[in-house]
Amino acid sequence: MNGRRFRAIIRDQKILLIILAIALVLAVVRPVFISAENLFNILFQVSITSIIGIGMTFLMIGADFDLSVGSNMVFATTVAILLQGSGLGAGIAAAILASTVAGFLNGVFVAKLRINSFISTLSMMIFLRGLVLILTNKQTISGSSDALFSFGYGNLFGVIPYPVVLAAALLVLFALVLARTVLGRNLYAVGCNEKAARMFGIDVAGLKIFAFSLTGFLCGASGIVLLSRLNSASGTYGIDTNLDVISGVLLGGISLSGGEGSIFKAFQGILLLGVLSNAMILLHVTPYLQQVIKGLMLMTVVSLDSYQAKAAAFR
Amino acid sequence: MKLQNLLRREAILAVFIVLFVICSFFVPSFFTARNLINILKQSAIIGLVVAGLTITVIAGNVDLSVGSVVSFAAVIALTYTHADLSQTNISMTAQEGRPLLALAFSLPFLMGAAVGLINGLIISRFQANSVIITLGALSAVRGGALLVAGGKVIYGVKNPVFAALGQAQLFTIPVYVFIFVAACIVLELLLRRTSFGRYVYLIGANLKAAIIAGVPVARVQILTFVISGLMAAFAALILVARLNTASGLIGNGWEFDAVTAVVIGGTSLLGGRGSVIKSFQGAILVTMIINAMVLLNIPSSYQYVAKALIILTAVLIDIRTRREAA
Repeated sequence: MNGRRFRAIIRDQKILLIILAIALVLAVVRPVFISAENLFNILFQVSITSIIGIGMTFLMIGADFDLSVGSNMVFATTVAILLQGSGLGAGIAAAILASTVAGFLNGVFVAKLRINSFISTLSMMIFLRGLVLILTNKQTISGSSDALFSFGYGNLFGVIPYPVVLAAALLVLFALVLARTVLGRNLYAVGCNEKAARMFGIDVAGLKIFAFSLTGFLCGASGIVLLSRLNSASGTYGIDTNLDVISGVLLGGISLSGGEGSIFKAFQGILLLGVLSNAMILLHVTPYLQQVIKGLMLMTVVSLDSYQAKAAAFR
Repeated sequence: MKLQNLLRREAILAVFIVLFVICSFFVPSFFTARNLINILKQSAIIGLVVAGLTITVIAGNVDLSVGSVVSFAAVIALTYTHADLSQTNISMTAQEGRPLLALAFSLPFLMGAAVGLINGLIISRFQANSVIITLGALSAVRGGALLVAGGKVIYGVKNPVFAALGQAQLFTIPVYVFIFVAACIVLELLLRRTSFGRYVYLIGANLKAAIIAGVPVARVQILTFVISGLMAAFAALILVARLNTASGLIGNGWEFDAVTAVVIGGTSLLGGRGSVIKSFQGAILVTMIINAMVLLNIPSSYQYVAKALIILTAVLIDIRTRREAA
């Protein structure tokens, strides 16, 4: 292997290398880290954020983002619990539909009414948080059916948790959609240059609405995963989800200015964040300090991203 | 035609007057001296945050860390008037409390300015997205506040000078309401009468043009973030003096309330347009609506929904009027 190829690998796979480095250190300092139980625990922890991260990646490639994902996820969990009376299946379907509609509305606000994605999704975040508080009457509500537990706590082949299987399947599916379909290619075009994309006859508004609806749909799906584990909902759940998803996707190298990135890269970023969280817990870092570290990390990552974009523009 | 123009320019004021009249007639005990002073009191403290944030927004950015800065500043301020008391275990006179009072007053401002400086440096130097950068700062600073307060609620402002900041009254109106009005006037003059103010509008309206025109863009942008940090710290001091408590959780969600007031006042999130006086009106309008909801016994959960709808409506009206104007 010559030097140039080596450098290229370091540049392109830096996130994977960092994950490996952290894993190596932790395996020595805290051997429990490499137990199968802990590793699958990490994968489970990141399954929710990576499912939402798929939608966020679609949005960011199209140069948008969504601050309402955490609220939307809990919204789905709440709706599913409240409608369980008319059957678990109906509750789940209604929940995913409700979240998809919320995402769709975000898309309409941004693409049709031309409200910027910050203000529309921030409003949606507060709106859905309020709706959850109203629906739960500010309490923690619990589901009556625990049929979902066999999904939430069950394992495929006795080892791989079902939520991880679901996340993996969705990741592969949407990675293919992004990389192999016209829709995916058009999305990159919109993110790179919206005006040019429009001149080429790409339905920019339609694509944006699709990306927001997809994000809503995936929030719904992760809300159900949450339900399968906790069997409860409250207005205080999912507060950190926005930060975790956006930081993870950005960490994976998806640029805020749009037009680049892939599902696989986004997943690497989210996995790194999951490994870091797990490491901080194993090293007994207090939750407050974890919050500080996560915030600083997001700032650092975006600074580097913007710095590289600026440097590239002047090259 | 003239009336139409006036209405367009002063839309927020018109909405305010209409709502005010409706509330006075239909909301019980709304139109009483006590309640009207209440509205002023409630809008004054967050109003300081709104006034500072307005300048950042006119320059084309947004600062989501203000709510966290409020809580961190409050925790620091209370810790530093409190710590000494627990050591000496005697009631402190204003004289004895002076050195610590100086710390309690200056450290929050230093912290607010530092957070603004870091936000501003990153955003101006790297042209980074201010929403995401300050979202990171929101989390980090809130974590800092929780760390310092140890997750607990701390209480007891025992220093009389500090307490007066929140308790003293003039003509039955709290002194901090006057401070709020004065701060708005000072910041408005800063925007209208100084070259800094002109630069803020120019940068917000057209960043490229500002760079080409030789405006010190980075310095002005950094200063706008420092101002929003300082104003958040200022609000925190008054909040602590008034509530007599602080914790890592107060000021939670203030960033959204402040952005709502700014947007409703008519300051565009795209930058280049707006004023502190308009945001002042926006802050009072939002407080008045929430106040009426409380008087009508509408549960607080619905306030979230109402706020979200108010802000969306305001933005839509803004877009519509701008399209008509163009």
